[in-house]
Amino acid sequence: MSVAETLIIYAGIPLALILVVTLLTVARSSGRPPRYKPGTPWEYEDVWYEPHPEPGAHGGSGHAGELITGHGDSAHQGGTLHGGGEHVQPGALASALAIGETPHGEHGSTALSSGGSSAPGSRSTGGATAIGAGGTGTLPRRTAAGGARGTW
Amino acid sequence: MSLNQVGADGHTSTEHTANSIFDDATSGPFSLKDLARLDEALTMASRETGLRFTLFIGQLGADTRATAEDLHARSRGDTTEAVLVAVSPGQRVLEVVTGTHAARRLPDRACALAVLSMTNSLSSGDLVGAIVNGLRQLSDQAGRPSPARH
Repeated sequence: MSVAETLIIYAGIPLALILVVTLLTVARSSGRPPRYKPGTPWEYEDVWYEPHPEPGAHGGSGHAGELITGHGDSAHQGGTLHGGGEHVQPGALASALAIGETPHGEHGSTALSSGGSSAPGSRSTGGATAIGAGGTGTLPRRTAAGGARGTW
Repeated sequence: MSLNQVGADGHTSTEHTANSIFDDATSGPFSLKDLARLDEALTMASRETGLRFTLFIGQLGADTRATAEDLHARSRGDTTEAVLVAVSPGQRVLEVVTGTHAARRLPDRACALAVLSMTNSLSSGDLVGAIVNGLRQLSDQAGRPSPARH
């Protein structure tokens, strides 16, 4: 066996295998968000998922793909596109803002602090306006009756 | 896949104009497959029990319990029937909050059991699996709504 053959067999083939495995690993992980590892900081936005409404209980299933964002901007999540902030409800947005996030623009923040002094929601920031109307600036009544807490 | 998401974002990163489901999915912490699993778990748990399960993932602040209870109070719909599962992966805290009616069917011990199994999965990094199994456990514990109430 010549020197070249030895190098190809004992160095070239292992290197090629390592390269293939590396490429597969990189290609797989680049297409999806990184897996959560305990102890690492969570740098995503706060999200609040809720179940689909019961069929027939909410005027049809057309609203099922709804994604409500904090600034009343309709985003797209699954085939149906909704316009404006028409489905934004006060409770959801108030809760979204209750966790220390600031709404977009001063319009929303004034609505939140002054408790509905701004104009009714006629623009795309209508969601932020609804906070003032629905939240009324007062703390909500305590509704929690039980539960549990865990850490890991 | 369609997941009702009440976003709590105050950032401009979601101000995209492309409106692509892939943009939405990859900008968040979950893949489309994960979102589908969460979606199904939430919806099935809520349909089977008649309670309203919601899932919050994000920072819970210094007083996690108070924040979670505050979120529960502000959730839309009937808060007495609402069950909030609040996960703060950054703080490694999990809170389950039940409303007054929901607490009768989901006593604290049942919640604690679900939380225990969830934290078990969470400590190994399986965020979606923990949530899905936890919701399943909670809905199994709550059972079906009694016919007297309907």
